[in-house]
Amino acid sequence: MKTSKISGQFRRPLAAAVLALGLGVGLSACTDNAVNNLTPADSNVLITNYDRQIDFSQYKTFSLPDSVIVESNNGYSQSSQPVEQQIVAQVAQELTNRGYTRVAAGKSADLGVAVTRVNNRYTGVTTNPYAGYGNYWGYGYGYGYSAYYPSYYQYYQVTDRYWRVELVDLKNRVITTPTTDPNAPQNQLRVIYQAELRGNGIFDTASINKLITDAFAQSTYLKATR
Amino acid sequence: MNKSIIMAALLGLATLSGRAQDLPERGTTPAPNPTPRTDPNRDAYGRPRLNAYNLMRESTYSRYVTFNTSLRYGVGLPMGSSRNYISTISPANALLTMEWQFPQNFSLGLQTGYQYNQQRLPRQLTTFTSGETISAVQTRTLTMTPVMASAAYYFSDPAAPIRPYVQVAGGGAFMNYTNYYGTLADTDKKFAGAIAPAIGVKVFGKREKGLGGEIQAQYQNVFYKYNEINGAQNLLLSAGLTYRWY
Repeated sequence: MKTSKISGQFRRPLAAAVLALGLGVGLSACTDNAVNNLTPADSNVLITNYDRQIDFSQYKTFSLPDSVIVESNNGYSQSSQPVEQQIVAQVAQELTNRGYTRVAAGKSADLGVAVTRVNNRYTGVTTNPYAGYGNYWGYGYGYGYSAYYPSYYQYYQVTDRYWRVELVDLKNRVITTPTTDPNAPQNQLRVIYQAELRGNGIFDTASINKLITDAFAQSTYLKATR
Repeated sequence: MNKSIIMAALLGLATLSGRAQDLPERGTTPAPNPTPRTDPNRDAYGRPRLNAYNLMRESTYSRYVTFNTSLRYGVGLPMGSSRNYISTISPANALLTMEWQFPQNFSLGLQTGYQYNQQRLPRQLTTFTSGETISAVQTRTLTMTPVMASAAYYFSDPAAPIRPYVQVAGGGAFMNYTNYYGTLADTDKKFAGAIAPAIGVKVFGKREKGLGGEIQAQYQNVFYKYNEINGAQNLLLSAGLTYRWY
């Protein structure tokens, strides 16, 4: 009898606690932290696309420099760090496995291969709309007090870093003369294949080879023979 | 002199009070009172104070518009085309309702909440209409914030200890569809119309008791279309606390 009385006494707080716990669990679940627990390997995204009008068996050779292009916002440079040499070697290996032949630097080839390390960085400023102005226009402003930057200014920086592998059609390129407009679309080199490798850990030497292998594995149309 | 006046006054009072006591007994023989006057369960006429008629007649819940609020936790079962996007049960749902109870069986209310569901798919290839083939681990999320008005019919009076009901809610829901490919997000945020019939029961244990429990099954139909979802249907089973007052 006595125990049932106690349990009755505690029933209501217990129910409230269970409810609060349930709500707590529920509210901590949200879109913003949905991918916080992704492993680096699971975070990797391989995006491939190609020109549907192209028959890739018409190409037999490819030209691939030993360095990669570093694209930093609108600036371009070349780099040949160990990890970059590794990705170039792996791309060459995959293309060779598909039946294409790499030509020496400077020799003409059917395909131009560009490996780019994209390193874009964007900086912006935002204001916190919920920060109160408080005494922003309070007494004393303009009477010899120095201005200060309110704390509700927030700076954000977005870094977008990924690998890009492109195949360019050199075989069917337009023969340029001094009078051709190099910027006209029909006179530009045509990108017929592109792969973007994104995610965490993509600049680690341990993960490079698998990324490239997987990207080519989902691009079955890349082969020198039908 | 003074003493004689006081004595006369006391005598007069005694007489008056004696007459007052005698008055009810005049003419009729008093029925013997079966229970002492101090019994709180009986009224002056010996009738039991507690009976259904008196409570019905006297309850404020039955005479005025009264209030009811409830806070519930729920699990959501995706139905229909929602299952094309996320097929797992959602364990993260909270609901808040406010109702205006009319003296009879009807109520009008407002409801809102927070409903979240998530499912992770193993790495797979997806080809988009734009031509890209994407290999990624997908983390599919859907957040729903309903904002609806409701009308309910209760099968018992507003002060009853157990109150089963049928309800229909209509309004809309803020939808946040975010499908992560790795860490890249495909996001669509929209306010879509919604309609949601429900059945439920409120259990207070005693008549007129304020705090009680409530369980409800609500079939939510949100007119939302995006990618895999062609009308988001969801069966929400919820349980929680309810409170009525005036």
